[in-house]
Amino acid sequence: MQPVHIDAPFDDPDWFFEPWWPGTSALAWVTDFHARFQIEHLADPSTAFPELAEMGADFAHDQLIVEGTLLVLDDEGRPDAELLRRRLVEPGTREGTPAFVASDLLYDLGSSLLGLPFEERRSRLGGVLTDTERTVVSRGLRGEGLTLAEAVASMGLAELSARLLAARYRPGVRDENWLRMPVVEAPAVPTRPLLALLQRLPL
Amino acid sequence: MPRAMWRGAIQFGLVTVPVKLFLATEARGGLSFNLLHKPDMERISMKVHCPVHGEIPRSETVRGFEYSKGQYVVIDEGDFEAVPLKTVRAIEIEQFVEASRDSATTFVKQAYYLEPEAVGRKAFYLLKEVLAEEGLSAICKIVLKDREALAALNPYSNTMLLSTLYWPDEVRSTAELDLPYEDFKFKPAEKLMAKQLIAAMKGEFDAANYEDEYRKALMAVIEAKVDGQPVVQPKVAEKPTKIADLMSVLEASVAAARDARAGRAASAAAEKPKAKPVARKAAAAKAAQDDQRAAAAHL
Repeated sequence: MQPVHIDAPFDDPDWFFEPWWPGTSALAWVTDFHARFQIEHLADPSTAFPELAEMGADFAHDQLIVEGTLLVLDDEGRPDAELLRRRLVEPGTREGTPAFVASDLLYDLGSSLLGLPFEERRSRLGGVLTDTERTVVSRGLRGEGLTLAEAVASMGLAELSARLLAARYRPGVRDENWLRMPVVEAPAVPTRPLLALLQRLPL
Repeated sequence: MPRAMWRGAIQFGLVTVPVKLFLATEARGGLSFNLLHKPDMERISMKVHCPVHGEIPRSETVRGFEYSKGQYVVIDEGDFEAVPLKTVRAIEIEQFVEASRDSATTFVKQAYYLEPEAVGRKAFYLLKEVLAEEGLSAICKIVLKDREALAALNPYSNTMLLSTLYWPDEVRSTAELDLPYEDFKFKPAEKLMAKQLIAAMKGEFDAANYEDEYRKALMAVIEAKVDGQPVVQPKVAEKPTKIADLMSVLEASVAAARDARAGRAASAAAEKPKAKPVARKAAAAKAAQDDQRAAAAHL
């Protein structure tokens, strides 16, 4: 499924908002608790992310298809699009720390969940994946696009994703029940929240 | 001048080219260590031991072939000399084949440089040149260290390289591996993308660009000890950055954004003129709705 681009974030309780992580959209197949990825143009980037080969073991169930984003984090824990690009172009590169942010669960125990509303698919995703050092369920806000846009902008990220909670998953097509939008510039703040927060975190 | 480890002749048809063989490689993969007796640091010696007579000199040993359990026949140098093989002192060329990468010549045991004897130089370089021009390898047999070996002879730099190969029954089959190659059909776009990726990484292979970094680091440790310097401990890898930390940052940012929005809303409300009762009712209803949404919102 592909998102439709719109101009600005909004508030609506029927929608779930999450950051548009600066990585590459990916589907993860988990078979025998071993993960295999597919990104744009059906490419398999597994050789560029050997650290994620055993990611399948992070899931409580097998025979899954999970939609999400492959990221490469820099030394300060921020997603770095350039490190990601280098990994994809030069699979021997081992710079940065790769990670997978899961956003949607499409198959569980070999059964399709495509007909279920996004709200239920996401709920099930939380049930089969516990956060690890390399795999997490994406965080987001229900209904509060403007608040999340402000938070995401303060982290230096540029876009949001919004999904209609009642929507089914439609493979392959561009679907207006999934939106992608730029964040509105947050008002200036006296300190840089991201740096201040990072300094407090036990990284 | 390195020492030749074999002398003989390349033979094919009626042509005989006398040559010497030199090892082309040396095992330097790991550094070798000696076992020492810890209390006195004396080197441990490996004694030849006979269960009946105890320690014996190596000169009293012979080579035996166990033809049945506990039954041996002794094979001495004379027996090896008497082996009726044409290849004992010859590199016997059996045939010439295309120098293919997907063949049994992939499985190389050991490589040897060839040096022609003065009398055979012209024939040697003629053979080298023709092999290079035709893109051919010479498949041959040679007896080395009491064993007949299959080998491939190829032009290399300013000489030729003899690579001894594994016999077919020494090369394991791929049949037992799970290799469903035929199950995959590739779209032209997929192939094109793979070709582009490969083209981007294409270059001239130069082995000089690579080095054994483990060996280098180990040598540095050894040299530091020899010099009486404390061994520099490897830098402990930094704690890996976790994706979960990024989510913590997001959660904190959302909390900060909520506070900031609430603060701005409060300031805006304070600046507004006193609202009419109806409007206040609407604002209260909106505030209650906001509270409900905040409770429903989850990260």
